[in-house]
Amino acid sequence: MKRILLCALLCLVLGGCSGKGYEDMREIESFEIIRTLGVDYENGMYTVTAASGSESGGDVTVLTARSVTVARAMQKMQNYSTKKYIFFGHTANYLVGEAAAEHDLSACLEYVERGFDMRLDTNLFIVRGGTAEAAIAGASEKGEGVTEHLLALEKDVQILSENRIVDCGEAAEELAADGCTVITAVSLWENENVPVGENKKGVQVVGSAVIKDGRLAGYADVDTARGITLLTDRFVSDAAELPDGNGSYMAVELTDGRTEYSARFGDGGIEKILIRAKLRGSISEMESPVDIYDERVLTEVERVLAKRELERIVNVIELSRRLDADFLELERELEMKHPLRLPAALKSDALPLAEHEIEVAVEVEVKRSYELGISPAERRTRGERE
Amino acid sequence: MSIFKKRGNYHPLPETRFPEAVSIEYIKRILGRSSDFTVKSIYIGGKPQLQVSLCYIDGVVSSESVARDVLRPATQPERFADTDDLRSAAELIHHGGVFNFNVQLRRRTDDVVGDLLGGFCALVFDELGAALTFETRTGDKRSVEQPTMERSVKGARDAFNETYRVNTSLLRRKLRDPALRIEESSVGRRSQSRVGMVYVEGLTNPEFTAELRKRVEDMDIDAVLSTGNIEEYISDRRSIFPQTIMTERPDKFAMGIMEGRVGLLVDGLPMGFLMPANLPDFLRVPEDNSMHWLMASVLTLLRYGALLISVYLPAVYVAVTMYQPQMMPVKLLMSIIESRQTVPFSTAAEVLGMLVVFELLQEASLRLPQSVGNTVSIIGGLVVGQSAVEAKVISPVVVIIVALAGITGFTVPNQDMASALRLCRLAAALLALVSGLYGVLFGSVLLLWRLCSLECFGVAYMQPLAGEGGSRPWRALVKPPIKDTKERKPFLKPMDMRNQK
Repeated sequence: MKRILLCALLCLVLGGCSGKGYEDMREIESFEIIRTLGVDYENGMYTVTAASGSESGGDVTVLTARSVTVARAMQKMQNYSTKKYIFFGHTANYLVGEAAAEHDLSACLEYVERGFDMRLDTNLFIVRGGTAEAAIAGASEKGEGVTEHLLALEKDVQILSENRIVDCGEAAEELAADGCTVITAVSLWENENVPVGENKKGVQVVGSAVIKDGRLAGYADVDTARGITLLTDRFVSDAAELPDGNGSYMAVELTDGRTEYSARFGDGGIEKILIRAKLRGSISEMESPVDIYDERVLTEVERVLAKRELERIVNVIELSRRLDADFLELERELEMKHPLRLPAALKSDALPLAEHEIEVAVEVEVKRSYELGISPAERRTRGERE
Repeated sequence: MSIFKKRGNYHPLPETRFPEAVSIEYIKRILGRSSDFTVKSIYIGGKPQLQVSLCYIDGVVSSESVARDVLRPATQPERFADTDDLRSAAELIHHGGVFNFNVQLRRRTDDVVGDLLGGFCALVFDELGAALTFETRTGDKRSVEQPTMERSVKGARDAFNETYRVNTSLLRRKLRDPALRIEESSVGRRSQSRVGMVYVEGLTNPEFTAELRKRVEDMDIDAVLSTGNIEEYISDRRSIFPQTIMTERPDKFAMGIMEGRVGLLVDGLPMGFLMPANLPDFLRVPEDNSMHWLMASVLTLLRYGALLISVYLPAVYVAVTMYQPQMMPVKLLMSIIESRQTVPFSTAAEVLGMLVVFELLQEASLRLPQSVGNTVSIIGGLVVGQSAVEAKVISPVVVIIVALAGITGFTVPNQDMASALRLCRLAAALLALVSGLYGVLFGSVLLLWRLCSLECFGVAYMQPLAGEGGSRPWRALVKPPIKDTKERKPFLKPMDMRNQK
């Protein structure tokens, strides 16, 4: 009997007596699920814009609230509807307007970090040259909402190695550890090729935003952003269109890319930082026939591709130096390679790590693809020649 | 501690119910008002000086057997030509003067009455204060049929029935072991039901047999008419979880005996009881031994999974939708929101209501004749369910959740365990309503605590998953090949550990 009473008492304490359980309880149909949240900053006030999900193709609800803090602005949204509960637990995208990022991105991330409403794995974007409110409202006018645009963009960007998608947790972590990070920059654009009746406005990737010390420091253009994905080992695939020397073009599909970092040490510390990038790919399309069994053709393709990648890498390094932001995490990468020598060298070195001479080497390996339209005899001849 | 108040340890009927000497008048007084009690006065060997009374209960005995095996030989003059007194006549009859293989000399009226009620006829010798009873039971009994609750696919197709002797014979046919013992006793002051304790000498732990013997002796009730009467008396503690393995299949019963368990067969009950019982036993079926070990293991794991789904699915749904919606994949969440837009009830009311409706449907289809039961299931499950969803009274997700929980509950082979799980399912849903996942977790801890504290005949209920002296807990989940299972379960402490070379 005592045990039963004890159990009953515990049950009451757990939920019934305090009424806590019932307070937390909400009926699911009263939820307005927010999928994209945007933050802008102007005149000391934060403007928070929230867009609901539209998985079934219904209308997207866009709400906006202003306050001194992000948290208070979000709370204000709850008052907009007496029936609906604005639910931020499934927010997939967090857009920060350029002004807010310039003012203080860390402050915008503070709410995500400390609060329990939003997840740390919410994707983070910076709206280049505009406000999050305009981007969200513009892309949510008809049909597909801004969320669908951003989710599709997230997959495409990563598959094509155009950029690196970071979430709020990663960004906050990198800012705390390295003082800088790189975040995908997006902007609102109008696509004229959409069917009549559908929303022409959408969001597109316009490079990367470099954040330093919690604030927006600058941007990397789309091409440089590709270099960042290669240097941060996030390369998945890439496609290149190259002139074949006969006035036509050929397409090369790069399917593998890796970067290795190392340092050469001298008596006075670090002599040189070596960055070695390796890419592999294959010819995927030819506008006019080219003898891909000819080694010289492949070598030329590899040379052109290597030059292209080298330029990208150099641009990234220059951007890093110009903004004085080690978003490549050079120190961490080199420490992995030289766990004992690097700390000692950094102590004795007068120069900061990024100021050292950097030697970049790019190696591209392109393989011929299969040809189905040639006779077995010709294939045999070509094979022998090869 | 019991929640029921005990009212004293006594029984209204005394141990010896009929203290007077054996006489036909006394027996008439005891049974005489019943229309089926028949008394005939006969002359042994046709001699009037050897008058005795033949009595029996009509319908319980076979009148043909009484006439052929008792009346006819007892009245033939040539058999008793040299007999002039009742004492020598009784001795002659007792020692083969009458063709009956089971003749008992009874000197206590209690025994005579017990025999009469048990299908014997009696020759009452008033002058001697004794009676000779002859087994002349009627042959009317249900034939051996297929099991109805524990259906077999590849195993034996015979099932126990209500006749005790048929059940023992079915068991003997499975286990032709001379060490198989069936200790018989009588339980129920008024029902006088025969109860047989079954074990294998030299294999079953004597502690189990002694304990069961004691518990059967301690059963002081009027009548044993249902399985619950036996189960409650021989179980260790009051619990919703079954503590005896009840089976209607002789092969399963025999397997249990061969594992080192002690069994109980009761006259009038088409079931055998096996003790001690452990939780993993309720998730096994005899067919497991007829399958490839890998398949049997996968099915066992599936049953464990089904058990968890059955108990927790409605509770987790209530908790997640009402308290922790962020745990749900967003597309599922949106789909549920959309389906619930026009439903007038809260999620908890919907789930709890559907659980109750499910139980009602099950109860209705069980109690009705099979053909009507099927109709009720179809109308209740399909027609009403479909209509309710279309009328937007309930959401389709809840129908799926409750149906899934119900179906997975049916995969638990033991009906008593399945019933216990139904209660747990309801309790878990209520806890989820009160405190969300926290409540579900709290309920799970309570459930685990309860299961781990249960013991059956000194063996932990959770063996071999938990419990002192437990070994090879994986054996609860996986069935190894029979060739590799050379030893019996150690927690049953059998006297003979090896079961094969």
